[in-house]
Amino acid sequence: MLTADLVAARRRGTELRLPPTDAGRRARIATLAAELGAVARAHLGQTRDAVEEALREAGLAAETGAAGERRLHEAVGKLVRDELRFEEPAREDAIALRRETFRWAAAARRAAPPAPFDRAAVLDSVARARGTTAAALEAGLYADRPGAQRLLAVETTAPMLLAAGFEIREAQAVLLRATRIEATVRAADAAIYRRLFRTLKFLRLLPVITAARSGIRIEIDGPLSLFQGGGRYGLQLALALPAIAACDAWSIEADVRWGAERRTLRFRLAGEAAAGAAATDAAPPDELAAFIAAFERQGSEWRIDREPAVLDLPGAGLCVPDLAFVRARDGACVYFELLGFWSREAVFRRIDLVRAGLPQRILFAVSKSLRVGEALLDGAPTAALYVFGRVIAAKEILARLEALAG
Amino acid sequence: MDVTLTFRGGTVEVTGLPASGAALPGCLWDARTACWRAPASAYADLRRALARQAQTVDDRARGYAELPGGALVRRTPRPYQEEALCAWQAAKGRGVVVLPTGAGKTQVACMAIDDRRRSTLVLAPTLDLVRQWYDVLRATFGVPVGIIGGGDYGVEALTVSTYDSAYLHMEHLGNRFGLLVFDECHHLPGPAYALAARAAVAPFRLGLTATPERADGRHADFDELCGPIVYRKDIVDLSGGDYLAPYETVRLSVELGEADRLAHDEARGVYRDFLARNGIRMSSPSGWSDFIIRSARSEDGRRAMAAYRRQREIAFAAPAKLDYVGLLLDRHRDDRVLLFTQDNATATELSRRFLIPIITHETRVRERSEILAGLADGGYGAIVTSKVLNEGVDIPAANVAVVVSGSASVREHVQRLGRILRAQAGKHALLYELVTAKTTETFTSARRRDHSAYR
Repeated sequence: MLTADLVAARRRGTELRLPPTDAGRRARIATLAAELGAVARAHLGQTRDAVEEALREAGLAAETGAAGERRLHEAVGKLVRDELRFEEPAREDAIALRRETFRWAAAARRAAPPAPFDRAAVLDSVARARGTTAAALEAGLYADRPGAQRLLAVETTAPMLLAAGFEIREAQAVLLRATRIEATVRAADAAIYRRLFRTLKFLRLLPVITAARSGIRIEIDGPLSLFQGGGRYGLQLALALPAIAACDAWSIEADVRWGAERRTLRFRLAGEAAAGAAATDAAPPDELAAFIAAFERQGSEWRIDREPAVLDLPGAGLCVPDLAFVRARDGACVYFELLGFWSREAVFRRIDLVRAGLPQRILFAVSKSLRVGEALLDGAPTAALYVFGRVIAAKEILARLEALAG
Repeated sequence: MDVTLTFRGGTVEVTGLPASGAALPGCLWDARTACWRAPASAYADLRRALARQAQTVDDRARGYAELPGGALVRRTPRPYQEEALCAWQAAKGRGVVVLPTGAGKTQVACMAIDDRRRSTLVLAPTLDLVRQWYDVLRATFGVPVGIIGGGDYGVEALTVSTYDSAYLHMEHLGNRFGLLVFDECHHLPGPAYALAARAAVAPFRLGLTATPERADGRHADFDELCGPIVYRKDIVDLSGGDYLAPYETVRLSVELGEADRLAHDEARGVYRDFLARNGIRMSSPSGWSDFIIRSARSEDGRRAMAAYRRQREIAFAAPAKLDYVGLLLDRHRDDRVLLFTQDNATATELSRRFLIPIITHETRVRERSEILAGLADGGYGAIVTSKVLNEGVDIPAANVAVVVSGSASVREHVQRLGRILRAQAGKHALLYELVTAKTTETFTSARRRDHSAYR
């Protein structure tokens, strides 16, 4: 990931703007990525110190003097460096060598009669005892230093792909200083929304979701932001961006604290499903994965659909179920959403949605830690609450599915 | 309706009170979750305020317990340790105790834990200190001790964590401890670490340091984060008696060789010329940041930054200085010597040249422990380090320190002296400070010696 100091963002009044990434800039980024990747590949097998030196020299040679060129070079260099793989050092060998050599040296320094310390004599003695040469001994003494590790592989992203995703990387670096984001997203495929919400849940962010004219609007922050107003969640917000940018159409507005004075500025960005910035597939939470496995193990006539549709009740709100259960005999469908994390209010929003007339059958599995009672949805013909302790019990879910489907 | 307190992500949620009600201490109405919310550190004030209102409280925020037993081993406290504990108790278990290095701050903390008997989290700035606290707590209380940090994650009623790991985990763990001990608490007022203090409910808090004052003035934040300074003794109050070793400081000025003097003066000229041409005054509060910003904007500026670094490198690692280190190592061949440098490059150079163990931030915990044990048992006569041993680490055997190079920080210089002051029979501590003449080091040295311990 890029860091904020590598981004050439500029302040315009109360706004913070990234340099426009046009075709020319993308081509320049791709060229730099290709050049630096080639420099790194030419140093396969050499030490990290040598690779770093070569990349630094390439940077100086490539500078054209254009504004922002140096920073762009450093930013692309950072992304290339992130993809270098170095050997694991033979740590134990070096530690043992140092132990023996330094203890020998300490004893030699104390030897009587007092005489000036003779470094070469110590190295010769230790080398002889180990059956090696003083030069080999010296070479191995600090061989576990990071700078001495050898380059094994250059796993670079294709330069064009790196260039295509560069703006998202720059935006992530800006969001490291964000205190709040509001995103508006639209996706035809519910799986994209699900990935986004799972990512937000995984990152322990607090999303407040409302339907927008086109798509959905998500306000994202965390509990402490009420008091801090600081960047406690900046890293999580930055990590959430690729999942946002994977939507068919998206825009964000963020408050970021920028510059030495950490002045609050507004940052805006919009795009369409960004190439090179695809969201990593957010795995379902552990308790959900464990439940799916247990439910399938017990056997029933219910099939699990892992990619159900988003449920939207116009004017009232929407929810993004994690699963849908479909009964083989009659095709009856019951949606399922896990509310395991800390927003108790999210449970009440779902209850309001049911009361507003959500037509689909739905079962909400709610963690006991959220302190809500199953009685809250007593009498609702199409919805139920299941409160679970440590695990979601497959048998309990099956009974509730049957009760809801009739 | 009962008022419910719940710990959520470093905050305390207060449910069961209307949005229109009177605000409670530290609370704001959170429309996102339709409840009152306060930073977790306001927990004790909240409980007191609700008690005054005679509210029935369902307290689900408190997740800490009383310790089943107290200390198994109780050392007779020194008089000043007893006074420190009394002062802390009188401040209702919140406050900072200032004692010099080697005076037994850890003992004061063990007495506080024994006194309050609440599950306790000790926060320390480095893994070396975490390891040291782990050993002391286990030996004193005879119970399992958890460690968070350096790849470990184990939570027990007594747990030790680095500040960094506490920052990462306090949103989940902030209600598990009734007492927080902030070792080297001068680190606490930084924005990230302060957040860890705010995200914990602990009503009882003890800060420990030898050097509370911060250059940025944020020591004023102690009051909010762990309480005010309740007790203070400085090096000069305790040295020479039974508690700290008597000591002497020696400042040695070394000259640059002719070639180095030329290179130094030339680099310094480039740097000074840039400052003059750009109207940058390094004596002003914004001088350093002005220099960083402007030097990054032009080739000329980058040359000035390189020149600045070069003249510092020459001053820090002047050949005459390194030669003199060799002389001191020979002179103190029967002592235990700590060499301190400002940067890793000089530390590595000294390690190579004199074949002595080096400890930097890259040294793994196991090797660090082995090196420190080697210094204690006499297997090593000297070790070199840059900054990682500046604070807290207990090296009772060390009796000679050589500051080869350092910053202008008074705190750093006092802490380095503190490494050799732990009292041992017949011990006389000696600190050498090597300063390259006619370089900025002379000014840096004068600034860092501005403390009673050096007068």
